[in-house]
Amino acid sequence: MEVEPSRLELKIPAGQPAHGELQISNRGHKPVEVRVSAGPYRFPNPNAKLPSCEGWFRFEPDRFTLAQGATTSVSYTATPPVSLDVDTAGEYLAAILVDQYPVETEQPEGSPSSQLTVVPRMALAVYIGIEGRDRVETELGPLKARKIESGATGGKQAHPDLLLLEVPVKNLGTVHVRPSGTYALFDEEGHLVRTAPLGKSMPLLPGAGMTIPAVFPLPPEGRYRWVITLEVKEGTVLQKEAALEITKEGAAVLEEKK
Amino acid sequence: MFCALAVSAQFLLPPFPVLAVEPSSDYILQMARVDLLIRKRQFLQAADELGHVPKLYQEEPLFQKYTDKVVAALYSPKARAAAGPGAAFAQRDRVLERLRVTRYQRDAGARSDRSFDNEGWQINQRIESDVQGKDGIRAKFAMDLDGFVDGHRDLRYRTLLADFYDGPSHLAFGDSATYPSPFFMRGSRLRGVDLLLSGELNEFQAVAGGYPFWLEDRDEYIYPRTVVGARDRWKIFDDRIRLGAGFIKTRDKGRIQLINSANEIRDNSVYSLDQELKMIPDVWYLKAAQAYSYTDDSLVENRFGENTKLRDTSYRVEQLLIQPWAQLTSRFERTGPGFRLLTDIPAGGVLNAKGITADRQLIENFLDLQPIGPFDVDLQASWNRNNLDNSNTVEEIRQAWYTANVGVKTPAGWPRPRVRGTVIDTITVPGTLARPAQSRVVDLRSELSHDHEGMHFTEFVEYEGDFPAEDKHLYNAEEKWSTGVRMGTTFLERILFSPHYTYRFADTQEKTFVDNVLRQSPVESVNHEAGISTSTRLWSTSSIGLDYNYLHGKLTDPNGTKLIPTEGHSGTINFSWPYTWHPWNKRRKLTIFPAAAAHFTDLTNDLEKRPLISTQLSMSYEVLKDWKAELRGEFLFDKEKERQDIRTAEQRLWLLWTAQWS
Amino acid sequence: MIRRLRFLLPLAGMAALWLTHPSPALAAFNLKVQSFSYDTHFHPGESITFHVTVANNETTGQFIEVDITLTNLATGQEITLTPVLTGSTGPQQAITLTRTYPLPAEGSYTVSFPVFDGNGARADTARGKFAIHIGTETESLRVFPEVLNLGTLPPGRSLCPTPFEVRWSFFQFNRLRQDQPFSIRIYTDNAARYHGIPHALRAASPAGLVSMDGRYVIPIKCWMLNFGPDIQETGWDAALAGPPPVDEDDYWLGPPLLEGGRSLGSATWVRIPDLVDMSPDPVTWRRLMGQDQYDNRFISDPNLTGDFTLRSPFTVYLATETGPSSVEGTYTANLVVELWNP
Repeated sequence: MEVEPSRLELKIPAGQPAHGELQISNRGHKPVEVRVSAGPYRFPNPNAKLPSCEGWFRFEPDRFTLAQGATTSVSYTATPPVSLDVDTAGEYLAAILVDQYPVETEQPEGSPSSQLTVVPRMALAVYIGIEGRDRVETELGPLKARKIESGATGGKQAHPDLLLLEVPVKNLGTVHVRPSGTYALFDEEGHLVRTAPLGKSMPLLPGAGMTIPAVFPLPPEGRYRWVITLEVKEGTVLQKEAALEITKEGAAVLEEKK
Repeated sequence: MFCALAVSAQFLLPPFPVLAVEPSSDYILQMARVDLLIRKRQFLQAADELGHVPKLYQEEPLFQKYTDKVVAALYSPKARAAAGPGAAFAQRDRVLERLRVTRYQRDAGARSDRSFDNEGWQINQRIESDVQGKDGIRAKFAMDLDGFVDGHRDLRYRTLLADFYDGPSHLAFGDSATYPSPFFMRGSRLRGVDLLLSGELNEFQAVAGGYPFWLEDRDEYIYPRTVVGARDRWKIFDDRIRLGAGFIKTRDKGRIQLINSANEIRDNSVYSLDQELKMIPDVWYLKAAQAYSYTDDSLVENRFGENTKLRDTSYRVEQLLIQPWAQLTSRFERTGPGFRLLTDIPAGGVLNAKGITADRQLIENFLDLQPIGPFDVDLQASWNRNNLDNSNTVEEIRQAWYTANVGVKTPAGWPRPRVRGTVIDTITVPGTLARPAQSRVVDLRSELSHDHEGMHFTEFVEYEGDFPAEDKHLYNAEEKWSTGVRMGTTFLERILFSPHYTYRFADTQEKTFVDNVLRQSPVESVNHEAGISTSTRLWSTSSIGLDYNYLHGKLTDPNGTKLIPTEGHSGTINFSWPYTWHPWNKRRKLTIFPAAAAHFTDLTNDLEKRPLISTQLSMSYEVLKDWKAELRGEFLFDKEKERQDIRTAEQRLWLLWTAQWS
Repeated sequence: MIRRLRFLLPLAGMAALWLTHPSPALAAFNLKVQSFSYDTHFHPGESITFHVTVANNETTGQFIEVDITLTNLATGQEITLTPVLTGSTGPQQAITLTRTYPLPAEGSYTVSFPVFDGNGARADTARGKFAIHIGTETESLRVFPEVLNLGTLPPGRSLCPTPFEVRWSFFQFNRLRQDQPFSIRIYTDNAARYHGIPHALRAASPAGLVSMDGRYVIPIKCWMLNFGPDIQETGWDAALAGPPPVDEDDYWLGPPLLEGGRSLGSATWVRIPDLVDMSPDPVTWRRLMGQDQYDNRFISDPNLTGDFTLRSPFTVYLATETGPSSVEGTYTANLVVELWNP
């Protein structure tokens, strides 16, 4: 079974309901019974109590049979409660659950009387931001560098000395962000030694923090400048520079530039 | 951890330092931002960011590198579109060199094939390079040099080409050939300028130059035929319709008579239109071309004061119709007798493969049906005729061919039959006295194949009849039957074994002319042929094959034309061992390939007693994508035991060297 | 080049005007051959009629003599047909002389018409475009070896070490007394054996070697001297160096085209088709050699009879290409070498 879109990130003015459609397709060989409902946001990093918009959703239809190869649309309405006006949260989270039940068939004769039904479930993350109350603010924490000795990670192959750089990021805003960017390593004269992407990460929820790592072979002895360029929102770029020194003994010393 | 680790990294060697002082933080941060924008392919923003870099740092190699990248991406749409992991790999600069030295020796008896020269050397050298120029334009250069030594010495360059291209557009100087439509160039190689501009909606080509010919006795190239032409093609309605128009003019110079004094000096112009239509995509395609030619057949008046001017047309249509149950390919072509399209001047015994047959009308239909039930049918119906202007100085030949190929898909385990039937009707006006003016040939062949426990069996029956449709009192029919069985199986997973037997019966007519009147005497012949063929793998990759055949019947006497009863045996032994070894690593490859074949035929009644031995040995050492050296020797020996004038001894040796740099 | 077009070698066409040698006494008169005609093919014992029209461009009446000369192509011996043609005509007039002669012995002869004036000085010479052929009808074909075993096919492209030899003879003419067109063509006849792979989307052509179970086919390519390559383009002189190498794509697939791709029609190693692939269009056949006076793919000014024959016997080489998708097994084919004339 397929559901389009795979997640919802909406932005609505306060007090206004949001409408939309989900496309659900049955790619299997048998007809299935589909039930659509809303549930709490259960994605990783729920360390804080998150404002929930679970109760806002109405689905039409919320229970139907889908023939094999068929596609149908389910329209949803997310109605914020009146109490939203006095709330301060900038974003509300939930999950849309799409469950797949087998179509009821006749019990064949002689079959056991109890059956175990397996229900596949697809969960779509829902982020509803409130216009006017969404504020993107991210902070880069102190950068850390650490050397990993060769063969220390316990992997199958021995590896040379590695350098691990860590970038802590904290979301101080009211909406979630997905930080992505690059790190660049320059030498003393400003020549580019190494650059690599930091990868698209999981969502960073308001109030939460995470550490983005970067691992590469230990550079030779010398002084380097390390720049992190992080994009949290289209057009907004955060940068931080640190001076990195690899000593003769192979230790890494980091000094952040203010 | 919830973030993706850095998976790919680029390691750049630091170039020569330009600045002695440490650059400022701002510059470093700017460069890091530009790097991110380039990764996200936001080249405009990256250019904007680069524009804010202070002048002090604009000489930095890193700055220049990023600027080049951004500008190339912004101003070369093709480079941007083609960018991807494969594009950079495919367009590398390279140089290719190939040298082959061949030595050939042949000694043939008076009644063997003496068409080849007795002995000689040949040297072929080719060098080709493909380099990147500026602004995304690439250039290809090629040069060939050949030397021949066979009683006289001849060394010459053959190809000189400089081709500047950008995607599908080309500007070529030197030797080039194109074949864009049936009435333009047709693959003729011209030495001159060839401009091909190919865009999304339009394609334009212009050619100008001459067809070169090497005069051996003068050791120089002459250009007896010059050519000028242009064409244009439009693609409209989303490339569903392509319309083209073009013209090509050739003009001969008197020098053409240096090649052969019989050559006429001609002037030829062909104006053409071509269309390609996707009438219904995936269902119906149509391709058509029309041309009008004007030929001044003799620019120099001949001794009889004649000066012929020929004007005629040629047109052709091809269509392809695809339905779920069948596919129909049809072709219609009509070329008038006076239509000429002069192409290049071929050399040696080469047929004018690029020319067009004039005076011809053809309709061809091939119908390929999807299986209907268990039947799988393919049909053909085609007609061809010449002499369109009904001239009575030309023999008119009309043919109609009908072919059906029917297969029956039987359930698994059952024998599978298949029948091929061909009917050919031929009319010749006026034909030869030896054959009827109208005749029909019926050719049927049917095979039944089945498997039993890993053994394949095939039984076949074939019938061929040649019947006169007119003047039946003057001409007799000829019929041939044959039937036989063939079997194939595998033993011990390495020995292939295949015996066969064929019985042939032929009822033909021997024709003689007595006082210019045809006399036919029937000749019957019965032939039996039986044989066994086996091959097995030996050690490593070597294999040996053995073949034995027994023949009893009538064969044509090689001295004359009569059928002579004979009985005989023939056998073949084949051995080959393609051996490959990688001495150091997978890139290096040593190949040694010896092969030998010995064949012996022994027929009674003075027909043939003849051994034939051939051997080949090739050795090559190759470093993949780098260089390769190959030495190859071939040897052939053949002698008729009782006739001294039928013998051949041939040997060839060549040394090949190819190298590639990129 | 012409050395390969043996057997029926027609004479070259128009020669330059033959200027008179001034005789010790007088220069020849201005007499020119305007036209001539004769038939070209005969059985032995028949007779041939010549018509010659000579124009008298002088201001006085002239005596004209035409000594028709036949030159045997094989021996070079000259025969002047007697009695010679003679006649007189007035000033600025033409006269047509006609006579029937018995034919000389079997063979091929070129014709020339030297014209002499009353003083015996040669005034003009015309040469016939076509040679005269006298012979008995014959049609025969023989191939050696009759059974060809290609052995074990190695991976990649390989030249089969054993070529086959074709011995042929053909002489037939039509009622116009011109050469009857004929060709020796080669094809396979495997359609009744080839079933293809079950449920394949497209059926491949059965041309080539077919496996014993009828499922797989390995195409065969052939080469003989008539296929070139064109020395002007490729630099491989086949008479000097033998069959062109199969590893070079320029010979195997065809010469490269500027727009990419290859000119498949000009390839040197060409595929042998199957009978079901063939249609009456000769382009679908694989013609080894032959003669066709009516097809201007073969006619050229030095070769007005469209002769692309090779002396008997001629050799045909075969080559195969196997790839990673070739399946192990025994492959056989019915290879037909056919001498066809309509």
